[in-house]
Amino acid sequence: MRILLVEDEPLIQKSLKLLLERHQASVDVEQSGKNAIQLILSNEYDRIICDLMLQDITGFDVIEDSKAKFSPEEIKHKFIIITAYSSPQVLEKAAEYGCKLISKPFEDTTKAIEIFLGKDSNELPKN
Amino acid sequence: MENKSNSIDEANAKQLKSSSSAAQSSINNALIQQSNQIKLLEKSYHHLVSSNQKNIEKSLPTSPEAADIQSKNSFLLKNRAIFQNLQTLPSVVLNIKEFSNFQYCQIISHQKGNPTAQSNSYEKINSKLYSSTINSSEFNNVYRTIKKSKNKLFNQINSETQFFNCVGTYLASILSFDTHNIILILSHNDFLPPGDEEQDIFNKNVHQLRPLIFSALKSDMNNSRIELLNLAFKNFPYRLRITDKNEIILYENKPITQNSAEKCHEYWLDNNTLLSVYLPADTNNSIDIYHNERVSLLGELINTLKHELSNPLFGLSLTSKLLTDLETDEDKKDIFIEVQKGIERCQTIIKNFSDIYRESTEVKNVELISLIKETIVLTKSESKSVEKKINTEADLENLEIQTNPTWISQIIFNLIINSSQAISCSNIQKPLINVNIKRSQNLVSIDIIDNGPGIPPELHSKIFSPFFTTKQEGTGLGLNICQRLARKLEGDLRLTKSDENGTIFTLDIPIK
Repeated sequence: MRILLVEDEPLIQKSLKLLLERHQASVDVEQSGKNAIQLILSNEYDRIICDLMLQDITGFDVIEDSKAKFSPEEIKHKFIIITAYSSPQVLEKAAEYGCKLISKPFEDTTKAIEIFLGKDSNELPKN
Repeated sequence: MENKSNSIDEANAKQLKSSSSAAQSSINNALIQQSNQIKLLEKSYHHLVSSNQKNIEKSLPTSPEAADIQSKNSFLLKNRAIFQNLQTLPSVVLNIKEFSNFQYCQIISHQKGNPTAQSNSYEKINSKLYSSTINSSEFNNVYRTIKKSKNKLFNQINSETQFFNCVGTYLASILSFDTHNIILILSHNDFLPPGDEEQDIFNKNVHQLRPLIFSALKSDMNNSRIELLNLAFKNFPYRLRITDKNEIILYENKPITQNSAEKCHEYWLDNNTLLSVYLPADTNNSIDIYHNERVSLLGELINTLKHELSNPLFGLSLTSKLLTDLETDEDKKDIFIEVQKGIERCQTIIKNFSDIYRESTEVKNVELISLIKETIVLTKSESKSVEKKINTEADLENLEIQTNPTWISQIIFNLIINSSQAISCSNIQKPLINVNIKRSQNLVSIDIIDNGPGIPPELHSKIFSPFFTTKQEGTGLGLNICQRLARKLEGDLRLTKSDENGTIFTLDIPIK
């Protein structure tokens, strides 16, 4: 499984990468939203885990620009938003895209990893 | 001024008795006539008031009838003032027998220190009153010229000033009072100068006019004072009403507003007159606003702090978990576990702090003891040298109540900070705060007991009052806000005991 992790907090980025790799995923990491868009457009990822508050743009901007490549249905299944700011407005917007949202800090890290790997639900496309 | 007035009145009375001077007696007559007119007016005013009293009592203060009566009253009061003011004084002077040959009288009064002087004149031929304002420096020049002159006889043609409205020659005199200088002018208003005899009478008698002028000056000053008070009352931000003992409205600065919630504060001005001041019903609203502002400002700051810290803390937490998992050496594993615990403590404290400063009216199931424990942790910076104990019966350990945890936390937080500060101000050997939790049928009582120096007995009744504080940088709102929060919880906060052995505050919270 090929995963792109867009996260600007170095410790979260590195730990999540390691945790996911322990489950045989291949993980690219990126801290800039704009660079992430380039990576998304030029590579094939099964899963894009994206932080909401990036230094340059927001995770929603990344999703918006990814519409050039993905259908709404693909966006719904590929993207998972991780955020420390889970205000009602943010939840509402995530719901518009239909993608999953996980609040930081994770209540249960193991469960979060399962969601990232698509092991928790049949909704996620099988690869 | 008052003393002088008395001495003049006394002098007047004496002179009235002897009545040696004809001029004096005619001036006194004018005075008596004036005062009789006032008395007459007062009498009719009181008559009007008393005859309409019943009507007023029957009618609402804003009814047309009452308004009519009130306007009549004010008309009379207004007329009463005419007889005492400086404006009409020239005509009064010309009615005095000794001066009745003159056609024109002008009286210019200058209140010392004022930039302008007030001129009032009266012309007999057309019964007209004139009023104007004169520059004070011009007034002073003329005043000095008159003072230097011996015969006090002047001619308008030679005069440098334009502010005498008379024609030809005139007699002038000056009078000086504590607060005012006065110029008095009398003229025939023709080109024949006053004869020697007239000059003589004028110079002899003009100073007998003092009491008349003085009474007009005094009433003028009173009138301007009344105007000023009237203006102040009109612009007073709250509703004022003055009533007599029969509840007749004597004064009201604003109409009644039906919708606004007001609280009436009453002050008896004398045995018959009541001043009612209507203040907004709950001045405490402003304290609520202050509290909310403070909570929301701190809440915002703490929220920012929470978000800024939670991300790196989460990174640390993930890393330490990962490293714990990867580590095979048990000693190192233990260290990572300790790191993990430290991070979790940081996360909890940040969460609890942001909870205590959250604007929340949310009622939920709360584990009381753990809420108190969490709150005590937050007070650590102020209470670190104080031992804190929570004492309760075993069956209350896991007590859950339906309540607002934010408010309870805010109250306990404040009480523990207060107790800690009181303890640290004195040299207590073993500083201790006990938190005792008891349950009665439908009430939980939380006692916050410190062994501090106690609150002086004379302050016991004041500590919950807003803005009362003994701290140098205190707002005096802490306990007041706590008590109000307790009442919002439908409970209460009270001072149970305070002496040299310590202080007990009790917070009662209903169990629903």
